[in-house]
Amino acid sequence: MIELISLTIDAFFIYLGIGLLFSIWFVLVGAKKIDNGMEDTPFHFKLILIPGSVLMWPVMLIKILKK
Amino acid sequence: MSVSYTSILWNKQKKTYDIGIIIGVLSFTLIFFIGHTVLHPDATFETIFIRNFGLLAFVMLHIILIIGPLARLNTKYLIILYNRRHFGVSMFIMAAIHGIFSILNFHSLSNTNPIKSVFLSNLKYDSIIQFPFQTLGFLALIILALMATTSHDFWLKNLGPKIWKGLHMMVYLAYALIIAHVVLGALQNETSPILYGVVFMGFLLVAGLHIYTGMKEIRADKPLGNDIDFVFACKVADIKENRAKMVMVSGERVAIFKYEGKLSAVNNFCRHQGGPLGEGKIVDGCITCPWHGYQYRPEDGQSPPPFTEKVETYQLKLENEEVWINPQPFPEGTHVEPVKINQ
Ligand code: HEM
Ligand code: FES
Repeated sequence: MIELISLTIDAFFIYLGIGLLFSIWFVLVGAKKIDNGMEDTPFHFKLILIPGSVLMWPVMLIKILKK
Repeated sequence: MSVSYTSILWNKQKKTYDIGIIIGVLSFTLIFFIGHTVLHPDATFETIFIRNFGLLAFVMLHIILIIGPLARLNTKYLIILYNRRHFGVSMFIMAAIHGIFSILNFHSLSNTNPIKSVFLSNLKYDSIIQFPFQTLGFLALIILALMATTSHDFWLKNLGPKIWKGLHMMVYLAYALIIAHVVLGALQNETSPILYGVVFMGFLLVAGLHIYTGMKEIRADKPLGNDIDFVFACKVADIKENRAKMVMVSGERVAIFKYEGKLSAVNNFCRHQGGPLGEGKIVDGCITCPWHGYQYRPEDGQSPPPFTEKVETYQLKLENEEVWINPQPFPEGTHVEPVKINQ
């Protein structure tokens, strides 16, 4: 039980770590690919997409790959 | 309304609203600190701080959950609903302060990972009295984080309405987790039954209002008829100036608006997030959604340029003082000549 909880939390941190890397790429490059409204969106607005993409990266990754 | 994004579409009303939230948070904190110090003079600053922000988030969550049903019962609450997302994000910030500070205070002193410490420092998962209640708070905080970080329209559009709505419906799961967090946590500190009473009353209020408005809606949804012919909708006098009456035709809710001596009918479902257009008002000649203010022209159901949202329109006719409607909708954005009321 303790092992399982401990592993789940490790997995959670790995998930967030990948999410952080993804979010940097997403803000700089990825978001434009799925939403053309992003083209002339100011940079400071894009920064508020970081927390969301850290958490929701698998969904966004799938959407971008499907395009 | 698409085109390009800005962080928040600032306008005066939103600023006032946010200042209201800040004043509310500061006054709550001030009163709580004074009250707590008077009642428990020996409590440490950390304890009061943690309790203050936990309770503040809890109270704000209740307001968020009852504001939807309240606005259906009385339109004067619409103003709070209008910017519910700001309120939600503020609530998350309060909850995060409470959670992060608790973790710093109780779980960051040893050299195990603080999150592991939340889940593993107390293993009495089979006990009620000593249950590791902080784990429940942690799970709830993750749900609140998912909602707060995806609250902007960018996410609504790009996650798709299904995923987005699913995420936001999880607020009820978060609410259940938090009630358990509070009750099981308080069991370990509090001895007075007042806290339980208050938590229970809050729950009754949330559940009661949801059930009550749900039943009202089922009654209002009784269909008027499904045939091609016009069906009776309501009396002209049933509709207030610049407002609408909602009717159910062919399985769809339709809002019939009265404005400038005319009547127009559009589909009730706002294309932004499904807000009830029929509970909105005509502002500057446009139907204005009560939830976030998207606008549609009553005569053709189109958002004024540069916006592109459209809703279905319906043919009306007037017989004496009675409004009749053709249940067959026109395609979204079709112009329909408004019916003139002879006054
Ligand atoms: C990481 C997540 C969380 C942790 C570690 C945590 C920890 C704690 C602790 C240690 C207490 C007991 C405080 C005391 O009585 O001295 C507490 C109480 C409480 N928590 Fe949390 N909590 C978390 C998340 C949440 C969330 C998300 C909410 C609500 C939105 C919340 C609301 C409350 C409330 C209302 C109380 C009881 C009232 C009070 O004593 O202040 N907590 N929590
Ligand atoms: S639902 Fe958001 S404006 Fe109508």
